[in-house]
Formats: sequence, structure tokens, C-alpha cells
Amino acid sequence: MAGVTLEKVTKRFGDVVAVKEATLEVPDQDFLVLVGPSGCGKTTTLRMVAGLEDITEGTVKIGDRVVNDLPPKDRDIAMVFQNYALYPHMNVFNNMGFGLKLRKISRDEVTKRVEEAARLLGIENLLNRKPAQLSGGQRQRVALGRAIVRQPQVFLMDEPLSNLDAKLRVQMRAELSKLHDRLKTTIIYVTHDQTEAMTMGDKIVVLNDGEIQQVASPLTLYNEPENLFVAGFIGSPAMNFLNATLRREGEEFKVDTGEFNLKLAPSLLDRRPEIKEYADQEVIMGIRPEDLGDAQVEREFQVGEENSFTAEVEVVEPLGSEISLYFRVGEKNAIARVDADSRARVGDRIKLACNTDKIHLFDKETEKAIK
Amino acid sequence: MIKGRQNKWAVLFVGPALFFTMAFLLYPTINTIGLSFMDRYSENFIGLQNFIYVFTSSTMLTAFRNNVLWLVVFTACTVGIGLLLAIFLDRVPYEKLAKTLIFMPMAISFVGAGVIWKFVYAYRPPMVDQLGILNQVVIWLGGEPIGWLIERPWVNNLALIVVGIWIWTGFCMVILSAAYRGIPNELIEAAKVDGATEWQKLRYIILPSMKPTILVVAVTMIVNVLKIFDIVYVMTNGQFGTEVIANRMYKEMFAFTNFGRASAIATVLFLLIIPVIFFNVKRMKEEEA
Repeated sequence: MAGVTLEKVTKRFGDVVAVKEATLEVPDQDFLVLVGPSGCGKTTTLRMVAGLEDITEGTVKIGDRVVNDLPPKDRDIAMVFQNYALYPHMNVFNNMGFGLKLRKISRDEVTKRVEEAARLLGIENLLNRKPAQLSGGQRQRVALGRAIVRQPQVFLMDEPLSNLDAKLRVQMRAELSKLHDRLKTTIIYVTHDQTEAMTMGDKIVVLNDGEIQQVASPLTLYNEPENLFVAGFIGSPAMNFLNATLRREGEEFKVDTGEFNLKLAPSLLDRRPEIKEYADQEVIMGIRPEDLGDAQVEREFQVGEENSFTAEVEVVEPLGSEISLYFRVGEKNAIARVDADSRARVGDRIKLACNTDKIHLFDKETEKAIK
Repeated sequence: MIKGRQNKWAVLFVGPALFFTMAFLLYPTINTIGLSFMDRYSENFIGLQNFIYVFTSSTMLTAFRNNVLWLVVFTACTVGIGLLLAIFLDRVPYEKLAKTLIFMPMAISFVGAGVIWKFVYAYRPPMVDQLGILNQVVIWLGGEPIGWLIERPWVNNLALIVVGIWIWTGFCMVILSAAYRGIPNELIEAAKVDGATEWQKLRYIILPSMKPTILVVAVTMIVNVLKIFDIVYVMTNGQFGTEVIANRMYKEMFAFTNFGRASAIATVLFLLIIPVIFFNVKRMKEEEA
């Protein structure tokens, strides 16, 4: 059992900097998720921890050891690959036992470990099959089993669920979380799916363009994104971003989008005192669809003149438990997730309300959250 | 099964191909087998006498021995060297150049290759200037010139086999290289993470993954070598104990005009190849399953 530490880890491919000075502490037994869009450097970072990619600058420590120059087999890690990378000519038992066999572990011990892992994953009856005879979900479990029997200090997982169908993915997410609780081993998990990240991680690292944007718990990322990118990446549907000017009227602050004004809740100003310094400046206003409501039916927060506005509904998406309403503010498109009782229809000009305590403001130039 | 109206079209399209196959493949085969039981000019039926000759005459026995030698050495070397080249040339900077050079002999006809190597192996007595480069090198190293194509029983046969290897290794290498490149990178990485050394990667992952292709290449080489003719015909014409089955067949047919014997040898060659074909078909069926 060990934690992982990255200190200013950088990776260059020629002139391209894939990972810029990543610094990260993964406490022992944590489930850490690296999340970000394609090409953000998350897989490269994982591979540097694994030893499959050279580290251009910086140090990687597993436990107390600096592992920069150690080959993968000496780092005491196990990896689950996106495409499972099962050996096609070996049966499940041998696939799982291969790493142990190479380490000259006794046949009895290998059998014991493989059978134990197989039981844990529910694949005991598949031990004699070859990968070609397994379904996607089964192959994925074999890949997991292969990693588990190694009893490593750290598990590294590279988008292991991305090749599964949606239903299976949801199921496996829960199973992986349970597995983590049972195994009590550090897991570093890479995904591009923010839902996976939010549901599975103890801590999430959001990456973009090789740089770490924010490291925080799922809830913190959701409620307190540090910049525009994180705010727009976490949460589905994504946060709405509108251009606005901050106006001060005595003790009150309002955001003026050009089409309507919203008064910021006092509680927001208490939490984010810096907002006051942006009076009369242009800012980017962010509001999540779930913090907007149909004024007629909204129950979750108070609806009044100061936090409502009118807009024309362009698209209505009924989801059963709620309804997504698409509307425009100036040139920007926005989405509101409203109560299922809403009777808004396409073309209606309806009154929408905003939970102004949940407004996020971002500096227009730095794109950082105004705190 | 194709039914009704489609049947007519099927016959129309497949018909000509089927006809030619019958005419030029099936009929001659059956005819030859028939002729193998007849005498020299195909006048009288003589039963198994030709076959007795094939399996007991010393020339034929030498030919069988040589074909076995070819079978073992040629196949092992072309496939083995081709495999090694495919794997090791994959990482070097001059990979393309090396592979092109090694493959080039395939572009030369076997007869052309035979002529080239005849010069390479050429022998002149010690006091005279050497013509062949090999003997020149031997002299530079302080030895006496060797009759590469004359020394029996191993030197000359191996010298001929070397020519065959020179021609065909490139073919094996190219195909095996494609198979090697086809191994998913993730598989090698998984092996790395599992702790495999270079040798263990080769033994447990790379070679088993390439097994189907290695088999195909080996079978192709075996079929090639059972029929080997051009190299032997051009370089030694079977003299000095280098005779091979196909060359014998040619001689009996066109030099000695003994149709019966020639047909018998052809039939035996045909029978030798049949197990290889069965193996190939079986393997293809397994792969499809």
C-alpha cells in the first residue's frame, strides 16, 4: 500500500509539451481520478507513473521511492488497459497468472490468488476460456483480475470502462467502487467521462492541455470550480456561460446580461467577497441548468422579480424526471433544467427563474473564478 | 444452395473457370497417374514397376535424401532467419533499406539467381586466378579453393540450399514483419507491466501471437521446396549427388523420354504434397471457427 507523489512532472514529445509540471499528491488508499478532454495529458501522466513513458522532467514517487528510472515491473504497480490487452492465445487462468508466473511464484500460490480474484469478480467459471470467447464485460473483469492478483501498491486504470455499453458501464462503476473499498489499495483512474469521475473518485484532477486545472473532491469541483474550464467540464448538461456586466446599486450587486438583470444573492456575496471589486466590469456569468427553473412551477428556490427573466423556448426535451428547456440569451444558447410539471412549449415566451445564490462569476481575461 | 433461376447464372459465371480447371488441372493429373502405370512410351501396362524404380534406384534415393535435406534446412533457415530479421530490423533506423535489400532477390528469376551464384561458387585450380568471389575470399584467408558445387555429399547440397535461402528469406521476412507489426502495442505493454524480460516477451507473447502467420509461411516454404527444380537444374543439373525429385522428373521426361517413369515421379511428388494441403485446409478451417 502506498501513495503516489508527482513533483513538477513534465513530458515533452519533441516540441510538444504534453504534460506541464504536474504536481500531485495521492494519499495511500485514495481513489484518484484524472479527467479531461481528449489530448489533455491524462493518459500520458498515467503512463509516466506506470513506467511506459519516460519522464522528461520532475519526479514520480511511489510510497517513498523515486521510481523515475525503474522499469514498470519494478514499480509494484498493476495496470488495466483501455482495450484490456488480454493475451489472446492464453486462457483466462493463464492471463491472470502470467505476471505471477514470471515472478517465479509457486504454482500453488498462483492458483490460490487467481481463484480468489476470480471469485471476487464472479468469473470463476470462465478460467478455461480464451479471451475471444468472452463478452466485453467479462474481458474487462479478466483484465481487472490480472491486476488484482499482482497485489500491487497502486492500481493504474486507463479508461477501463469506455469500451462497454452504457448499462454495463453503470454496473461496473459501482463494482469498481466496491472493489476499491475491499482492496484498500491506491487507484489512479483515467477517464474522459466526467460522470465516471464524479461518481467514483475520492479526489478528482481536472486536466486540460497538459495542465492541472483543479484538484478537489467531486462536490467541491461542482460547487466551487476554480476556472471556466472546470466549471464547463464538470456537470451535465454543462454550465451555461453568459457575458454580463456587474453593476452595483448601493449595497446590491446585479449582473446585466444585456437582456435581463439578476440580483446576486447576499449569501453569494458573503462567500465570494472579491465579486464586489468587479463592479462595472465585464464578467462571464455561469449558471448551471439545474439552478434555473420555470417560474411557474419552480419549488426549490424563491422566485421573485429580481431573479426572474423572460426567454423564448426553442427546444423542449422531456426526460421524465425533469424537462430541459433550450433558450437564447443574445447570441448565446442556454439550457434550463426545470421541474417536470412545467408546461412550457416550443415558441412560448416564459418566465424563467434563477437561483442567484448559485451564480458563478469569472474574470473575463483570466477565466478564473471570482472568489 | 443456390436455387432455381440463380442456378443458371451461377453455371454461366462459374462454368468457364470450372471447365479450364477440369481441362488443365484435373484431367492432366488423372492422365499422368494413369501413365505412371504404363511403360516408357505409354504402350503397355506394367503395373507398379515404375514405382519400384522410383523407390529403389540409387539416383532416386539420393534425390529423396536431398529433398529431405532441402526440406529441413531450407524451411528452417528461411522461416527462422526471416523471423529474426522481422523482429530485429523493426527498431533500427535503416530498417527500410535493409528490408528492401533482403527482399530484392525475390525479384530475380530463380534461373537468374542460379547463374549469379554459379559465378560466386566458381572453382579454378589453386595456381590460377579465381573466378568465384567465395574462393577468392578463401584464398585471402589463407586457404585453398573449394569446389563448392562439387564436394559431396553435404557441401554442394548446402551450397545450393544457400541460394534458395538467399532468394526466399526476404519473402518470409516481409510477411512475418507484417504479422509482428500487427501485434497490438498494448499487449507488449501489458507484458512489460507484468514483468516480462525481452526474451520472455518474445517467447510468451510475440511468437505465440505470430504462430498462425509462421505456420502459413512455413507451409508455403515446404510446398516450394518439395518442388525445387530451377536452382539445381541451372547450377549442377543434379550432378555430384545434388539430384532432386523434380529434376529427376524433368530428366526422365525430356532427356530420357521415359514417360512412364516421369509420370511415376510426378505422381509421387503429388502424393507428397497432399498431406501439406490437408494440413493447410484444416488450419484454415480452424481459424475460421
